[in-house]
Amino acid sequence: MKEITSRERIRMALEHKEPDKIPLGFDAHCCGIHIQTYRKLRAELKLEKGKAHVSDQIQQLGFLDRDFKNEIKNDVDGIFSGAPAEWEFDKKDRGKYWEFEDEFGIRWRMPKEGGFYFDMWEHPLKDAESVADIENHELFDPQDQERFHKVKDQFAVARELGMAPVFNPNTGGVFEMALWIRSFEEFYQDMILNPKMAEALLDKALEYKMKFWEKALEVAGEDILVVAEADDIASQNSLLISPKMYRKFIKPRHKKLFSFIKNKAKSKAYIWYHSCGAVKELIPDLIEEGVDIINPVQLSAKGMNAEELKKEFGKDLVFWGGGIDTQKALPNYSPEEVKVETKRNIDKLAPGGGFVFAPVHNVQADVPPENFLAMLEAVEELQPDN
Amino acid sequence: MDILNRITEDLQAGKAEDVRTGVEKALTEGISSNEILHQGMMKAMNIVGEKFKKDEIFVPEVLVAARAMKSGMEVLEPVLTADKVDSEGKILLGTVKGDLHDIGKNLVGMMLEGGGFEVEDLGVDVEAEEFINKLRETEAEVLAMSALLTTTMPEMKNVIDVLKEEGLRDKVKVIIGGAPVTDDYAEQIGADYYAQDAASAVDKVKEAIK
Repeated sequence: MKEITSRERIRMALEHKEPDKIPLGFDAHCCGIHIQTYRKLRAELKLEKGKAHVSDQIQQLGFLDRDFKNEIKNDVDGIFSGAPAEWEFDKKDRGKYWEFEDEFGIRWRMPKEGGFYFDMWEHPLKDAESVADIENHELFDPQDQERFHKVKDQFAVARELGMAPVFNPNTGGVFEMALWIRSFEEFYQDMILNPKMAEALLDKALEYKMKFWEKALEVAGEDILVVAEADDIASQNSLLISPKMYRKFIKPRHKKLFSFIKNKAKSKAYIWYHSCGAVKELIPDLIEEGVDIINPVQLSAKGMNAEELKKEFGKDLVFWGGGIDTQKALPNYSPEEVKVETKRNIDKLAPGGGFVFAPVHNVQADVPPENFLAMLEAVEELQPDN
Repeated sequence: MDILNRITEDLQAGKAEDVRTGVEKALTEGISSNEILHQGMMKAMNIVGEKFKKDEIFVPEVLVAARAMKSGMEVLEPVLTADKVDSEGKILLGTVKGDLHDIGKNLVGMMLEGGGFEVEDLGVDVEAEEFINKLRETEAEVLAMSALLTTTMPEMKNVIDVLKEEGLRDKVKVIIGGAPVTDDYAEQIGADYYAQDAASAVDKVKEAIK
């Protein structure tokens, strides 16, 4: 029997059919590997030395090379846009920290010693006082050619190799963009005390995103399959904002963005949506907005029970993630325990299709390579040809 | 509605200006600073905390309430000092070394202040040594540490180990929190308490220093 391509395999999963094998979804947004762990894994797998560089500065993720993706039998090629021409990553020395300013004017810092990621340090609109202050904050052109000059090639490679392309976002979702540019504490308060400012910033973010995706989808052409957006709306134990506030401020903009993307796509595009945390209460809203795929299915968050989620939402949503908890299990369990846990989760999420395997989040710097490999072994042992 | 109830209502709604004028009015009416603090503002923050725990309100509502509390305290604090009203206790707070996350930690600080505690916030990326020095200096009764990352969680254990080495462990209660932190982890590293959110942190701190 002719083996189907990764693209077909993922497409089947997206159509809620059970493919020949459990598809592997690394390289999609938040399905990456910390550079430190990636280096160790490459060594463990005896892959060519000298490779391994950082692809995502903020999360310090490794760029997953072709040999690695082949070795782990990944089905996905993440598609990454680049920076605008007038902006470049410029890491500055700030005593104890490395610092850089992103294209939105947000300053990020990472401790030189003992730091694992860049985190937000300063927000450009923290002191904004009016709608005009927000409107006057200039952003780089989301349609800048330079952002997309490598995108076409990435799609061509994916097509040639039969990989399933996931077009990753270049920044957070509309809610995150607003929180990051304005600062969390200020934006949260704006939503109650100064809703006009909140709406103005959300609209600015939405406009940026629509322009970005308009151009991105034009470049992607008919190769498009999955469009990823990430907008955290929950914490470990609850939503970040009330459902009422979500429905007033965020939902209409998500809906507008997702239908815009689907309309602009040159062939059928599936909306892949990431939010960490306890999102269960808003899943029906997400489905209504046009979300097709949910990531990461954070099993450790309140109410995020894999079995119940599959039962309640499995017919409308594809689960991309939920393969193994990354807070407790993947870093701390023994390899044997990792295998048991991985299999248990797959058994809950995979039946009937609509599942792409990935851990709950990026594989962090504290994950022993043997645990990562045990996780892959568990997937492999469940594949029908074994 | 009497003035203290008014303050309680306004504070919960995050009406910072109204809380400030309310406190001023209460003082001119001759209500004691202690009563305004306890029966007006702390009462409101307590309700806010309870509702937050029950998912009836969320971070934005807590933030605006805390801001209103702060605005009222600007008026009340000098009077409390003059009246020699003691705080409920002194808390040293910070996010551990290597970790720059502070929203959760800030919420804990705000809720503790709302509970009448004096909070010394050391910020983020705090070295063990800095915690120790500040503990000696302030003689805080509680050390509250936060870590959002699985990769920085172990630093909380390190701080506790240093506390032991420095002979300070028995002098302070240690409470920890952060998304990946659990009760089990607190027990494992020898912390006294774990709090899963900012409102529970206030309960645990009250328990710690009663």
